Amino acid sequence: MAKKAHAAGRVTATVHVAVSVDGPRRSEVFVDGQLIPMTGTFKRAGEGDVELAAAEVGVDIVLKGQIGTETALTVAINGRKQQEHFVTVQEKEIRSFTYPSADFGL
Amino acid sequence: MNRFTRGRSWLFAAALLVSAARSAAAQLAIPGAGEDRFGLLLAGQTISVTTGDARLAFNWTNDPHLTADDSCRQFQRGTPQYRDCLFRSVDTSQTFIDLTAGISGQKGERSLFANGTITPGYDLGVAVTRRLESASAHHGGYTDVYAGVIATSRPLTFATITPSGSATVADASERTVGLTTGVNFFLRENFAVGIGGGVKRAWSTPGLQKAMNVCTSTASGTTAAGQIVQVSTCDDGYTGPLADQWIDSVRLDVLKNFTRTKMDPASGDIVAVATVGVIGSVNVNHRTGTAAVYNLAVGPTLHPKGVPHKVLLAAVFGFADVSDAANQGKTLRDKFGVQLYFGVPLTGF
Repeated sequence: MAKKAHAAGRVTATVHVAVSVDGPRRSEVFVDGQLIPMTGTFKRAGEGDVELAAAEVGVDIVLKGQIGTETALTVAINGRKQQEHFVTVQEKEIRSFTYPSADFGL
Repeated sequence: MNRFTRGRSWLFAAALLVSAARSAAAQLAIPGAGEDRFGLLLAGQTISVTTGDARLAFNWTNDPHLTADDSCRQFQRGTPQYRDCLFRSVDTSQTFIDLTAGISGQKGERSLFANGTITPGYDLGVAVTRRLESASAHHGGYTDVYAGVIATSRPLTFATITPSGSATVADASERTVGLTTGVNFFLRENFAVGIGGGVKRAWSTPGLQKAMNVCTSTASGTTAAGQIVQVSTCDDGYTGPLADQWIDSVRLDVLKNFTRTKMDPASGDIVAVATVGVIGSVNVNHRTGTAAVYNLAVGPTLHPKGVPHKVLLAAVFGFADVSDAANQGKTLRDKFGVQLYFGVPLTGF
């Protein structure tokens, strides 16, 4: 994790993120608005480096899938995981989660 | 001495089909009566079928990099612009490549193994699918446009009897090479209508013949009561000579899943319940010099709880050659068959 001082005084950190999504036909995961590249179809996984600047980390998953599909989402930042599980109730929807940066050791 | 007796055809036949893909779960073949392959795609994989003859198939689909190019950080999280940006990321088109390979039993037989030996036939296929995503703000759905090449080879036995009475029994392989193309409209994630067509060239084919018993008498005698006793060895086969034909086909497929969710009173969460579906196919085949053959197939499917895009079990009722195109006197029993398909959860469950 590399930290640097922002011009405005905020501290940003470049962190390594690993995500996986199992369930919907298509899905993408954004961490603080930054896309995490993934491969796969119904079972997808990927990783990448993103820049975080807030005390909270916003994770959004956008998906297309059949109603009733069970979705398992795992987000790991600096090796610390957060996991979510839910059932798709719309064919196209966004689920948003917010975690304290401290949960990831930031 | 050779003689022909009518053999069984279209009895209740069960076939096990195993499909494996690199990234998706085991996928089940969904049949269309009288067709070698079915047009619909599920989970991005080609659906291959058996039509009464036994077949074991493996399917591979490439693993496209689906991630979109959008970065949505330029928009404030939670704003309509941000949501639009996220939705765009799952609306990009993709291209799949499907490879299918299978082994099959001797044409006209219901088993991969006969008399303790395998009777290998094979089929190979490659198809390219372009998937166009729905850009609806609320609904899913997509359209698959596909085209591919299929080659098959099936061993068979045939007997030829000349007008003078001489007879021969020989083995041959029916070989086909063809092109197939079509469009599957997934109007919703759980409802699809597919149309497709194809043309192929067949060599050494028995055409529309029903499989019969080809028997060779190995011994004969007469009982004290004057009854003639014959000892014969028999094999399923056809009458010669075999022909080379063009085969064209058109089909219409329908798939519908009925997915249900409910509120868990204990946790207040939405939970999935078992999903059932129905699949149907109508196809018309035409061979050189023969009348068109109409085939129907319909049946229920059972999907894993909360995983409606995968199939655990399907029972498909098929009606082959509904109009008896060759006027062979086919009965309902000849035309009707039920096939059971079992999905094998290799991955993803």
